[in-house]
Amino acid sequence: MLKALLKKQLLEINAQFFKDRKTGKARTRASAAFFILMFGVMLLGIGVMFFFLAKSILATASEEMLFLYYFVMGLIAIAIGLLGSVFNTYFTVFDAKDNDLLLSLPIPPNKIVFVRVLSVAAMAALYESTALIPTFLVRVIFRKASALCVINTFVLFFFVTAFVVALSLALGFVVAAVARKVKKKSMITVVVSIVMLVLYYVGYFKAQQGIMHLMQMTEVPKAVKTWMFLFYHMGLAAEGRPISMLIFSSISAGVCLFAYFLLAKNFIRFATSKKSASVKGKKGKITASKASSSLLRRELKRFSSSPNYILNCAFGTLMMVVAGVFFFIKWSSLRTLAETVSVYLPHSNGLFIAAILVCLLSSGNDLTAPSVTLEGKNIWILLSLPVRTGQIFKAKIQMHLLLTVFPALFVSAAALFAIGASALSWVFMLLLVCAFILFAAEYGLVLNLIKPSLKWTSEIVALKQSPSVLVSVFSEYLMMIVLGGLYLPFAGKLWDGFYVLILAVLFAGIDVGLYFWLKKIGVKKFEALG
Amino acid sequence: MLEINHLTKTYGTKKAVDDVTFSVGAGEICAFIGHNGAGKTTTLKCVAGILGFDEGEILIDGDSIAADPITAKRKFAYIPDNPDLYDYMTGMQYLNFIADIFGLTKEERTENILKYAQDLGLSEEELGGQVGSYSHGMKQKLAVISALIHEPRLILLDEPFVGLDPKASFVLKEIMRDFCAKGGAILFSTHILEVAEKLCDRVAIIKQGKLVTFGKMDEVKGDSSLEDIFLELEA
Repeated sequence: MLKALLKKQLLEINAQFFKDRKTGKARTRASAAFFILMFGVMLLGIGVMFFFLAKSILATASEEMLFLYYFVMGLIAIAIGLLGSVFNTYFTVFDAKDNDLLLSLPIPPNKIVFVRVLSVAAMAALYESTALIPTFLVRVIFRKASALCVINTFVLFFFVTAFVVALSLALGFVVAAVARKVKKKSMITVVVSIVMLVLYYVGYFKAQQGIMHLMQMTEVPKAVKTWMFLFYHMGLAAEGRPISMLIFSSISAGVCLFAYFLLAKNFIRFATSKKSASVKGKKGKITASKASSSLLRRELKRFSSSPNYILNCAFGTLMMVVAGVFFFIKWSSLRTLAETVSVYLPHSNGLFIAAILVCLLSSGNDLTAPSVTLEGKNIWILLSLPVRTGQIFKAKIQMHLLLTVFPALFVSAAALFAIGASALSWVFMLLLVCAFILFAAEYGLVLNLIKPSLKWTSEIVALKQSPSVLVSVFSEYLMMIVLGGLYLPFAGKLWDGFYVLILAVLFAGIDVGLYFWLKKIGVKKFEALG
Repeated sequence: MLEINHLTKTYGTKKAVDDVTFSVGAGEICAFIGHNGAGKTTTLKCVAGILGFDEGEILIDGDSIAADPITAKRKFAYIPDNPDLYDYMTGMQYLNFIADIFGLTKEERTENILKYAQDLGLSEEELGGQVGSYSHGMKQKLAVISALIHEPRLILLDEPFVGLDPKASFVLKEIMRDFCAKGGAILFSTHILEVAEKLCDRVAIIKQGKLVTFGKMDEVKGDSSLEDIFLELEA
């Protein structure tokens, strides 16, 4: 029985490499090989990054305080393993799609849990190895290591994994419990994701200072010994201390086994207590509005209902608001910077830099690029209704404009105020920003109409792996960087306000061209999607 | 009401629908029968303007779906076999959306939504729930309501009884009869031959993309059952 369960779990893991999550179909051999290669390259890239981090940390550690090296790198590995496995735990242990099937079969729940925990352990080991393997290599290459030290490091790998599994199970349980209670999941997911991102960056910069401060100490702080007792012994164990090895391994294995038995005992209760989503809500209002407003409302509803859509395609809105506030607060520093620019570029006070920057920030929004793909199985509704395809396109473009133009005007105003731009500069820059945003909206839609894929099984894959999304974001970035660079040869002769006006006219021209493409060819492409 | 003349639809080199011609008049219910993959759904999608076609003509109350799709689409409603509706809307938001597209006044939509929701057993609280949380049967009911609220002249249904509870199934049959009594026309595909036999005035049987039989129900089946005729044609 256990063998059959293990085989099923392996097939599930295999499917991630050999099955296309967008279409649900098997990948071709070449595609699977490429996917595995890319995954390997990604892991290797992370490993190389940790190699250099480990090297810099080891360089600061004295011989007496070498255990701090493993203390720090071990904590980093635990964090990486946890980040990589906690959501996997949620989806494979607590909210697995085959819960109902397995529970209907005569399988003891502890065996189901055991196999799933093994899967979590494999995932945790994979992620933490990206930090632990470089840690080990750096240690043995750059400092003398005893045989016991090497053996302990290998043993430690298993117990670090056990500790990560215990934490993943606990956090996965919290995520599952919260997910069952929370009603407005999409907004909460967006807020939590943004907070996590902010914490990550703040933590990243603060942690670097903390690590360097810690590594330079000559005596172990009391707080490390008491509050971080377990990790303190993890560091000592890696340096070959048998007692510390015993303490760390027994506690890690203990908490892992405790988590497993607790879960195995309560698995049926948890898995069967899931309430189906309530089909009842407040009495809906019957309202009437124009077809065009209704189509726009439909697009906005689609957008606001999906945290993936918000986070992947409207990040520019947040960035523009943040940048705008920053520009207003730091306006005097920016004005000094603009004055410095005018020294090197005599016909510029930083206007073209500000314009390019705002366009770059607005490129973070690519709402139309996946909008056709996202229609997915629902495409029959629009195709069978008496609505012109042009109206559908208009609604998609309007959504992009609504969510992009206002923050773009805000950040533009902040930048123009900060550099002390003239009235004419204000007009030219706002023209460029508006023309560029319309371009981005039309361009994304055109790209998606050229290569739409309605047969996706996972929304996140449709959003992240859509060629139109990738091409639109990167080509817009590249385009603005090139256009910004093109001004430099003319900087001595041409007022940058005039250059911004030329760009505005250029984009307005492209806007007209794209409009006609959508009207003539785009409409036909959309109508052929049925 | 519905005229399909020499309809041909090919996928690559395979003819999914091959020179199909039949019509459904006002006040008639026509069953569209065939084995899996015979071309029923493709035909219905061509009529609904979801799929383009290679040859032939489809007229809905005299308007061509190919030449003037907007006018033609105003006259019918289509419900697919698996109604994938907007999961991110509530039932009421979906109905409001459909009513907005057809330009119904608040009074018109209020009367029709409440009437059909009550008939099909969907409460106002259930209409306030997210479509994503609906069962297959509830989605089917919502799709039926959305098809009826703008009072179309023709209804195209692909396997409409799948997933409906017995009461809703009964109500839908009553609605279909009532709709045709008022001069509407219905073309629906089904595998439930007993329902087709009892409910329909006409029957069209399609096999490997070709129409093999079309006519009045009584004339097609004669003294046999529709099941016997169908199995005979499939043999």
